Amino acid sequence: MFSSSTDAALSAPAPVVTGGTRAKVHAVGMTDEELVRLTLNGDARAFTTLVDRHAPLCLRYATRMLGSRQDAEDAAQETFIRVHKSLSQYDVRLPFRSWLFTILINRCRTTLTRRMRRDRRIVSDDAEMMLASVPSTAMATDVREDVVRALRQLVPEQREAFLLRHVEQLEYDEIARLTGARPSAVRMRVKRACDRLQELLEDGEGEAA
Amino acid sequence: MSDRETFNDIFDEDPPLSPALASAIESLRVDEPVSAEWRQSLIAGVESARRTQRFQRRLIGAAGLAAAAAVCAVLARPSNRGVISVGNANTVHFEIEAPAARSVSLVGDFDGWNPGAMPLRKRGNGAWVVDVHLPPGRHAFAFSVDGRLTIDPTAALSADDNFGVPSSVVVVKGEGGE
Repeated sequence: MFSSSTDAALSAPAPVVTGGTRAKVHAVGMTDEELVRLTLNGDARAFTTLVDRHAPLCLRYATRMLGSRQDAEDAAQETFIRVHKSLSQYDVRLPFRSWLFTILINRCRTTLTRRMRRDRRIVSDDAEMMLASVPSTAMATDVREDVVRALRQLVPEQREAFLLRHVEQLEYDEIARLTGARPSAVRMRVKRACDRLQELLEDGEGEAA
Repeated sequence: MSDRETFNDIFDEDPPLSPALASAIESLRVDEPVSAEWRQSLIAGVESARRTQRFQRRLIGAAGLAAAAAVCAVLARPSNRGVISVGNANTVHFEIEAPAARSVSLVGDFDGWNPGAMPLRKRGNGAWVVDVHLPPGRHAFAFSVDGRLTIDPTAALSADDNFGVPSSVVVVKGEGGE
């Protein structure tokens, strides 16, 4: 399960901003829920702090899930806008990050669906397109390059479950709640994903289309 | 083996990972950098959405009137009452001149004051237009120009809506109307 909001607030990594100044933090130690309340009371900076706190994680998940930095940025941006729009419906008894990820997961699914429709209409070298769409900064190591390629070969359901379990480090019950799948199905997807990834990595076939 | 099988009975915890996969997972856990441009764009998008929400809640008033003064709005067809143009089948032609606007939509009691429901099309001369089918009767309306409410300053008829916000009124004549 996602860590509690207080823990998340205290342990959240500082926002990393490239090409500009470091993002200002609204209030160190303030919980997500407190920031939500401030936002609902009209404090725009509070929501900016929520963005700075969670954007790196959202971009990480979306980039790994979609295999495209551009698509990931779009999905994350849509997610935060939807979160802001629905903020009054947020139940503060639940971790904010869980709610955020529920929306993010759905945005990523929508993006994949759109891409499948688009790819049916446009004949292209998909592998080349995917490689071209990931900036070099996101593939700093050979290991990462291999696993990113291998991830693309998983079916979306398995990739989603694998990332939530092993990269976001969520419990199975939490993943099931976020994805709408049964815990047993999530476990199966994660196991199949791991088996497939291990095959691809050990055989050096991560770059195979 | 099916996804429906209960894996809790098979695995109490995750099966061991190969060194290669464990190393790969570690590399995937590195945060993605956030570009200043993306952050700025997101915050602008949130701010735009926030303005739209405020608009939907009719919390406008003075800001909307100020925007109205800033935008020169004219009706394409002669009518100083805001009864813009009623064609066949009660199709009403709405037009507003806003050459600097990025988006314009029509809102009113006929679409629940939803800024996204009826976007206007931009013409080369800076005018934005839309044709809407409306039933006979009086309809309160306004334009949303870049998320800001803009009443039709040339409409002589105006009325307070349920929230006390002035809006323009279009009258569609016909059976059942006025």
